Amino acid sequence: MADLITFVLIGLYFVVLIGIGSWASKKIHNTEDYILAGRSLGFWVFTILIICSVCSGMTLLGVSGFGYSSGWPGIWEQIFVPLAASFCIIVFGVKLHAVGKERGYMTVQDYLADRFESPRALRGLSAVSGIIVSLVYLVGQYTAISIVLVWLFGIPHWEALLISGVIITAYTVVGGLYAVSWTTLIQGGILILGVFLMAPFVIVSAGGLSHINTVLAGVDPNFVEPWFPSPAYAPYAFATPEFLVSFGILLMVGLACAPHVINNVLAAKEARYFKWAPLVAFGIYGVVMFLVKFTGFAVRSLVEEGTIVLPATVNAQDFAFISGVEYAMPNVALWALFAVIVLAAVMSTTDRLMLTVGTMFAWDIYKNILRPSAPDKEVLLVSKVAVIVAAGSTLWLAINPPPMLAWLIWMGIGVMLATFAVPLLAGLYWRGATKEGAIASMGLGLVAATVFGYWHQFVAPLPVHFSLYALVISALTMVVVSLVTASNSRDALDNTQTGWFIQSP
Amino acid sequence: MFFGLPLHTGLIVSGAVALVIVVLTLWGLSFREAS
Repeated sequence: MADLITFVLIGLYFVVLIGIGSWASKKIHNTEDYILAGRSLGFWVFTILIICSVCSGMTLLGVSGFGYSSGWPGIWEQIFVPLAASFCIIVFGVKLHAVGKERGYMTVQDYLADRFESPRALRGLSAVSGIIVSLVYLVGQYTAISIVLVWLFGIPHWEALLISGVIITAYTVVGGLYAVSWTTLIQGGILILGVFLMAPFVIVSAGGLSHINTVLAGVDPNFVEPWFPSPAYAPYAFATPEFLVSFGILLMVGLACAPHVINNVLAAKEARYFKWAPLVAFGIYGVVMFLVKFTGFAVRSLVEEGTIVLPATVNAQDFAFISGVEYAMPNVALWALFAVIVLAAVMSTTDRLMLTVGTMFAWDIYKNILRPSAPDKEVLLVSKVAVIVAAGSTLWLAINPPPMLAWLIWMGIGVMLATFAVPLLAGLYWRGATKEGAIASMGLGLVAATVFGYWHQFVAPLPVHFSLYALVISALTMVVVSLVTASNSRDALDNTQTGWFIQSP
Repeated sequence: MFFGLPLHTGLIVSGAVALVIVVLTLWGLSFREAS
């Protein structure tokens, strides 16, 4: 599959990434520079960073695959996922950025510790669960990268992992969030331009959207409906109205409160970015998502008409985008560009996740719990070592990916929702939420997500996404425990601008 | 028909997208920059 142009283009892409890492390393003078890029991110770097932290390797492969297998009832994903970026900026970002700047927060755990006056228990619990979830997610990202490189170059799986792992780790370790955010701007640009360039070719080559929809309706009339009837009558027909409600909450809120997404709001330079960033993020990401989904529809149409054949694998639908581009764009140079686009989509999430794991360990666990007297240089060094350890351990896991990888990744997003959403929302907006309520809701949310996730996968399928049950349990726990325990001090509530408002009145 | 889709599908999906855009625009217009 690979040729000289592909090698040159990917080589050039890697050189640019390393160059940015090297430039960024000169700007790192302390831990704040490393973790938050000195709170200096401009509008576009910040907005694209939020988009690309939400977006992952799944954006190209999984989204088109879902479109291929389920048709229009899955289109809500194209609204919910971009909305996660907007939800994060509006509901969490505005207040966290304002309070974080004033109080010097480095991570969202700093906020939780300050708001709930729990410098060790809640901080430790949220940091440990954040690290576990991020590591699970990271294994999935590395596996996706290796799939692309193996398919392109025909090199062994471990070589592909090693090449990508070393490059991402190098620029993340030396350049921290400066490097991650600026490389993400490049990667985001490549992803957006690439999808704008390629998706229309695939859609047109399949006969245009009207023809594609006619073919889809012939496969299953419900493929052109906004949702599947309830109860689900086939494995692909799971997007029933009740499932879509839980799916929407999972994607919009769960992704918004993921540690590698929400921490970005602390790094924005100015509060005024929060005015239009939600609309801009939704607009850009939404168009990309719709185009990728339409590509999945187009490939299904081409397959049904016998024009192309997908590989005979269990996850054949994940090859929809790749097969569509291969068919519609025989031009080698554009083909090489496609390789870079997929890598950019995956790498932009991977580096942010690695930095987040390093930050949560070095800042929240090492500096704030294990060794409060540690000087800044030591914390910076621990951050870098933690990034390397996170990369090494997840690369090792990705070489022999767990058999239930897809389940683990969905589990990871479900756990993010059940663990972080209630303490954050209640902390920001309800003055009655207490420290005990936050610890109990976070802990029980974590346990409930694990139990319901296991139940859905191994015992009996649930009618809605398993994370919704865990979210409800977490919310009820927060309310009940908070009502029977003592409120936090007025000082803590006032300092953290707690109350039923987004912008301070 | 709406690009080969049943009319109700086209209206529901495009209506949802339009609603999100309107809400996010209203958010932008109501945001106070000074704070």
